[in-house]
Amino acid sequence: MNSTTVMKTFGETDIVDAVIIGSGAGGAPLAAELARNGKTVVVLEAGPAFTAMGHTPDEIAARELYWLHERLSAGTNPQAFGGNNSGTGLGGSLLHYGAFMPRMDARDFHLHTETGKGVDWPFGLDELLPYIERVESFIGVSGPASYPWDPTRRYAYPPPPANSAALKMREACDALGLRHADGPAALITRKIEQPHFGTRHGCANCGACHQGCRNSAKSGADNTWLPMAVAHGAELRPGCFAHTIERDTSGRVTGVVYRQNGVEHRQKCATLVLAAGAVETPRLLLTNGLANSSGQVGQNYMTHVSTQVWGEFDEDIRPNRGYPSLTITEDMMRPKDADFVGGYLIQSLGMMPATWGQNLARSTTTRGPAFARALAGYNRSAGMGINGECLPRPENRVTLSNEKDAFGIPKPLIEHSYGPNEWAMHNHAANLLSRMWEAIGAKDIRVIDRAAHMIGTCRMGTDAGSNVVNPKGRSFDIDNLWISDHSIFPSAAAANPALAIMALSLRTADAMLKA
Amino acid sequence: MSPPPDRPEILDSDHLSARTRAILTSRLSAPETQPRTLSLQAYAVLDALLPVLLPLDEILPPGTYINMTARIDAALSGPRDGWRFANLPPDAEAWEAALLTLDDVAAEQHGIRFIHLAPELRGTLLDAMMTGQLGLDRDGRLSIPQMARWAGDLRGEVADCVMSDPRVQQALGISSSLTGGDTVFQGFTEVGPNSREDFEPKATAPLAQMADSRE
Repeated sequence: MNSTTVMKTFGETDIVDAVIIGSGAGGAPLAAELARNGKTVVVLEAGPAFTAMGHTPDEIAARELYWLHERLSAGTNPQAFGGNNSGTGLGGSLLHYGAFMPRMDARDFHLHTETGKGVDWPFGLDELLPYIERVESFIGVSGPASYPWDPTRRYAYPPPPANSAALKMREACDALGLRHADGPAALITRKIEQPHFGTRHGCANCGACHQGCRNSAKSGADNTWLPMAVAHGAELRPGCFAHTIERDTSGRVTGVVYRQNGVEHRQKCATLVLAAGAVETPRLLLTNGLANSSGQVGQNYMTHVSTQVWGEFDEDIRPNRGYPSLTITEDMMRPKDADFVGGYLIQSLGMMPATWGQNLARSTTTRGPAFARALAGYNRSAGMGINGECLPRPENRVTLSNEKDAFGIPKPLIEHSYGPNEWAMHNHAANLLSRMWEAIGAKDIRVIDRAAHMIGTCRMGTDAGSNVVNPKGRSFDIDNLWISDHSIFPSAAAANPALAIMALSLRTADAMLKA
Repeated sequence: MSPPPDRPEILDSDHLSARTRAILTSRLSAPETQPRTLSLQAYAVLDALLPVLLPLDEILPPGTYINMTARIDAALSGPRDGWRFANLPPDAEAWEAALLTLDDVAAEQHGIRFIHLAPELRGTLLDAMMTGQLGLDRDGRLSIPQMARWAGDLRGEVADCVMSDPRVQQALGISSSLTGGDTVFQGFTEVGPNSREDFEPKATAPLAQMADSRE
């Protein structure tokens, strides 16, 4: 926050216009928008307030940015959360996200109409686009002068320099005749004064985006939306774990009970917004037995098919340096030879060493000198990875386990299994990316089967019988309860979710202001 | 206190923040002599297993020793990464049970404890575990599918421990900790292939020297 701003505070007995649970991509834009329009706002954040310069590239210590309340991972493809987990701290997952910021493909809003599979969104790209452009403009996104798959699009900042993996992927695309470009990245490449925050420096190519950006080049909530919210009178309360939603006899929400430093507190509110993500939002609703007349809370948990393929080169690659995932191709959004519906984006991958080592270790069974040799190949390694559509499936869901956490609340159980569509996409990508690396002479090519991101569980739609919230994010069951995060996505789409979450957040704020 | 003799040069770089330097330096400290999480029996199995899984003498200079067993044992009592496989008990319990499962299977198959097995036989048991052929259906031990899942956790933990050690980073020429200092946040100027900057370490491990030798 700007050191000259004094944050307004509210009393627990004050009935604020809105309490927002969660300060990340879902909660922060909405907090800023409501506050800017004169609403009284309190944001409850379970994690602490970090300072940018205090972040460390040490991957073990940087786990402090992950959501650390234990989650139980099940199914035939149990998700290895770790660095893919939700975030904690003011700014949420944007503190550790990779800042890869593609827009959702217009076709992905209507997958069911197009293919008969998956689910349509209740609106199309044209509805979300104005909000997407507002997000990009306000937080700062870099990208190429001309984007091959959407030549009308403009980015305010030029891209950061291409690192080794990005250059290698360009070669590999050229070898197979695929188009490529510098991808949209939510970082700024020149110094600016961010309104209500202060100085943000241009990206220094340090490569540690996932461990927290130390010079505020990466566009997060902590250096954009949250300072704006505070400047307009919102109160941010870090270290507050919300667990109980209170209601009056008519069933409307009256307040939230949360724990701060071991003490229970209550904040009264006229409206409650859940922005805690695709696991904690349904967990709150399930533990409180709320907003579930549809039976859909926790259902249709989705991820992205995020297959990676790594190779070794006879060069000093140093995959820790530079923005990790600059090169993109959208040519596989609807591949002609696909035996699956939907599509996937491909990005180049640099990576920090422990994260890379974990992926390598978990995806192979080598041991002894062969394992040591594989790890010693770090500085010669470059990767590519995909983000692809994952269809909603009834067996994939978030439920409450029989095990309780330190607060006495059931730990969430996340069941995740690939279906035929996800496997077909994984196999297609594993084959293509391997051929791309082979074409430019990579050795020891290694496929890593993994899923990333957390999507779905409180579906948005027009029918109250099969959706948790309406197309604006409002609960069908409780009229002063709203959800603003990726749990409301009806389908996963291929694009990384942060941009759409922020755009939906602004759109839901608009709807709340009109309600 | 004088620094340990194997103090890696990267720790003295001005491209390192004070916080990161303190974190990395703490990993050089002589480990505790008593296990913090595991029983003595399980700790001994882990100690006998690690050199077979990942021999560090392939990476580190002669005379450098990292006590991975102590680091992993201590890490199991510290903050974890926020998730676990649902078919495994909590981490500390799972590690204890898995290591004792290996010990029991060693005794049943070979008549001696795991720590007394020749390295080849220890390796054979690890291979069986990783490929879903080793486990015990009894209280306090892990079944075959549980052992296969835990094998992933074991391998991941070992990779984390090794790749985050400053001596390994020095030996492999890894500059990931050198993102910038406290007063000047330097980042990297060069990010393309074959463009090591002067402040970045050169690999000393023979296994990793191929690229550097081309400079």
